[in-house]
Amino acid sequence: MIATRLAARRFAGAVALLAAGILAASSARAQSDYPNQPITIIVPFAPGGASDFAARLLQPRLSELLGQQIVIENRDGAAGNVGMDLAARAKPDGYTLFLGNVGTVSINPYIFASLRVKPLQDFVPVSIVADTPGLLIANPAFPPNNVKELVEYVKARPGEVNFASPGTGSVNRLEMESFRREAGLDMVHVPYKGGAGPATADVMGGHVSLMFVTISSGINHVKGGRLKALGVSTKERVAQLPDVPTMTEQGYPKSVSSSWQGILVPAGTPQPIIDKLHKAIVETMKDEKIRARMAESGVIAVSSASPAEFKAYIEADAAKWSGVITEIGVKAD
Amino acid sequence: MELFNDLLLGFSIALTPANLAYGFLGVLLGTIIGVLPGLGPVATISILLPVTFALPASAALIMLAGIYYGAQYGGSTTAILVNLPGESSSVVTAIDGYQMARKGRAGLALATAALSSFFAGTIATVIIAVAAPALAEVALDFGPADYFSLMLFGLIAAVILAHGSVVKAVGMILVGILLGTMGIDANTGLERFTFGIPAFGDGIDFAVIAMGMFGIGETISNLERGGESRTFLRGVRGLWPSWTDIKSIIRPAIRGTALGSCLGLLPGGGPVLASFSTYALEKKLAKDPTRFGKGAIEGVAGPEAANNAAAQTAFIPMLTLGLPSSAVMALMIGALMMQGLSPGPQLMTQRPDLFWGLIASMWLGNLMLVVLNLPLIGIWVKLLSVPYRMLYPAIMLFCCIGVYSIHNNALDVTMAALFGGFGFICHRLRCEPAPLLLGFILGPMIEETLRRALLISHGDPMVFVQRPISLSFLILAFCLLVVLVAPMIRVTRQKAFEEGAE
Amino acid sequence: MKISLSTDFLTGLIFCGLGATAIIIGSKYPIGTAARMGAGYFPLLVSVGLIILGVVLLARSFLGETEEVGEVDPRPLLVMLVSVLLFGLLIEDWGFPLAGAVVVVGASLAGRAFKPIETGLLAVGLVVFCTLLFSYGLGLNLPHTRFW
Repeated sequence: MIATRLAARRFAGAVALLAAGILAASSARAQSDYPNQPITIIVPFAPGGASDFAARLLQPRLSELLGQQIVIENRDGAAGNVGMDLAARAKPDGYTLFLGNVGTVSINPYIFASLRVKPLQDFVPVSIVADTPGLLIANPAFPPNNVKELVEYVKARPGEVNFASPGTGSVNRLEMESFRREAGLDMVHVPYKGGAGPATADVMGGHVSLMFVTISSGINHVKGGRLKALGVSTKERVAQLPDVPTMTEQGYPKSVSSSWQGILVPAGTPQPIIDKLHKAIVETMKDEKIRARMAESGVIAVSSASPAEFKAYIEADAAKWSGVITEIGVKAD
Repeated sequence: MELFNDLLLGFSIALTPANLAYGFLGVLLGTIIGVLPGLGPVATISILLPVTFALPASAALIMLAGIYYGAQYGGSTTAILVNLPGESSSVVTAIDGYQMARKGRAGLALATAALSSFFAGTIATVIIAVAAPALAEVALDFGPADYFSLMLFGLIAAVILAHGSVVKAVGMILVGILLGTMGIDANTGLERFTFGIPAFGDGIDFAVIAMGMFGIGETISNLERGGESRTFLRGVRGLWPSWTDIKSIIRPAIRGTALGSCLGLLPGGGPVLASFSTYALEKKLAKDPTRFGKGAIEGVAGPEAANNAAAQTAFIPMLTLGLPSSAVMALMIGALMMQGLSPGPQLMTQRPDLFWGLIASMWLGNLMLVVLNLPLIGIWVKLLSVPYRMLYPAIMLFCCIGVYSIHNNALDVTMAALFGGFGFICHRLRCEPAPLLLGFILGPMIEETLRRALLISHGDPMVFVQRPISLSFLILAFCLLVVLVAPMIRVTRQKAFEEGAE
Repeated sequence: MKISLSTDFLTGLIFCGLGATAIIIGSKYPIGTAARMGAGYFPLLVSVGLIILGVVLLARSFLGETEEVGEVDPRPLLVMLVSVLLFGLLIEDWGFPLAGAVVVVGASLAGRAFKPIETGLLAVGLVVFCTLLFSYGLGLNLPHTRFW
């Protein structure tokens, strides 16, 4: 569908070139009556995942506010890079939006040397939509019960404790690496693939001791007593797990991080369109139903005060993770 | 008694007209897309998942489960009729099912597949209802080392699939494993054998290789032998299984169900591992193993029962612990989350209607599948009486659509063409494609679990013999190897003696 | 085209060739140690195994008598591959109806029983059927043609 639409746009572009004057006039009009055709949100992951979940939750309200149909296109592959590449090359007319996240935007550019997209240059951020803090979980039989005990335990056994992660370049792995550095711990990284499920299963089965997961994938197991939570990576405690102290509280202020999701548009999209989209997204994220549905799954519904604020947020986030990546030397070429 | 009440609640949910209708719709859609080569259960559910978001939770889950069974079963249909295993677990079905079809027993093969699937589905549903929580604990005990040993055992069993040269079969398994290493390495993030093409980052899709080697390669070999002037089917006999047929399928179906129910609990390749270990078992148990690969009915009944049972028990870790054991189950969890539900132990207590409704609908889904497919068998078999010169261009077109639709990527079609050429060459060189596909499926899991087990043990290989589960599989694997190699040595020695005597 | 080489010999060559290629391409992947395997460890292991099997087959082809490949007709192979490749080339820019028709006609040409009218009807019929079923019925994203 994207392919046909791109082809159709290429054709439309050729016709428009024949009359440059008309083009200028019509594009000015196109901006003022934006949107006048369906909008596509490219989700770079498969249906059923966290990104798809966020996109589908905000789809109906956003569509209502913009007065246009919104189509969600799942273009998964290569850790989200396939969809990101496609979105970056789409026409910057406000009809193709990209649901970026911490992995695609802040981490992948520093891990995949072959990645052609430079997210910070090729996209203009519009607004963050969802924020999922990290949760440090461990097998209930693992002796330490909080971060302080964990640090003592690992320091007494350098190189003996294993931690799992949903993937080499996953934010959860980097969260652990960043904490490990801050606390000066020597642990062995055991990467998994295919989402948080298989890794969580092995922590539950006691094959690996601990890991960071997003709150959304860990909260039920913690509440059910199959896993214990040692800390959350937020500044303040989270409402769903009021008994779990933050990493900051326990003396590790650098361990503040989250998995975020946000809307970006291809660079070159006219400012009035960005502003219109931003306003609609902020309004969407205020919706009580959406906030409640997200909260049920441990996700916090948020929005950025302005596109510029979101840009600053992403830049800081990217700088943080690229620093961790260079330090530990994860590199794929 | 409590179980009875629970099941009663389940059936009261699943048997509402609306839920029955959604279940039937799911089975129907699943079967249609499943028959299209290339699109297996994962792709089918991904495509249709958004449709279910608008439905109530029980209807959505029932419909998705229906799509899953339908797609799984549809894959077997094409495997039997035209030697196109639409998804990984029907690779084994293609071996003897297709040979049965070539001998005019397509109807019987399809009926066998449907009936043994239904049998397995029924038993597996009972297992889930009775023992789901206990079995989930067993699945958690499986660590990476245990899983590695199981996979190793599985690969050695894969050699039994071959009916030709053992050396060539092992070689094809290794080629498959090598193909499986393409893509981003999960442990280091390094891109292996991707030739700088981003689309290769996730490796090659199973369907691309299957469509290429089986679909395109097989068609080219048929044409090369001048097969286009033939009609595919000569003299249909035995649409329905006779009493002797039923007697010969019942034991394999029971054994397949048992193996499948166990292996389905494990993450990853449950149904695949189940279907071909059952095949290997049946071939070893058979009085005349040479019939296998030439249309043995046990070679359809056992694996079909096994993969269906495994597909069913794969729900257990998802339903009881909220842990997905396969891509399909991850999609199911996504669907639950969209409904505002979180899968896990609390699902059973908080929403018993949903939990038991789903279990009841599993059985109903299997029933619908039989009801839908038994009458269809006649139509499928009629389709085979179309002259081959008209049938095979249609198969080629379906292959192309199927392969293209996986990722809407033309590169996949190009790759399928290349594998078609390779498949034809292999065919002429008497190398069989099934071991390659199994190596391709199991290879990445073997590498992953081997590396993970050694990471966890900090490099100590003793981990594979210290863990009882792992040790048992290694001993089994060793025994199997002895069984495999012994006759070869005997033959060589016999030859040597004969030559010495001359 | 008659190939009088044995199947074992050619299979052995292919196995050795694939194994060697994988070793050469994989030589730049770090091997690591058994405890911390690098990306290159496992492929190297498999490639070496493949080469050993290839050598066994080559040796067997020289020592014992094995089956010859025999007569090979390259026409179905070439025509079929070209038509599938054309499908891949045409589908994105020219749409499914054209690409689909090309693959049906090409596949028919690959056989020796080509009947122009029958093939034409078959192509049109199949394309219409597939468009209705897959594009409209099941909502697959098959590109539409640019001609209408």
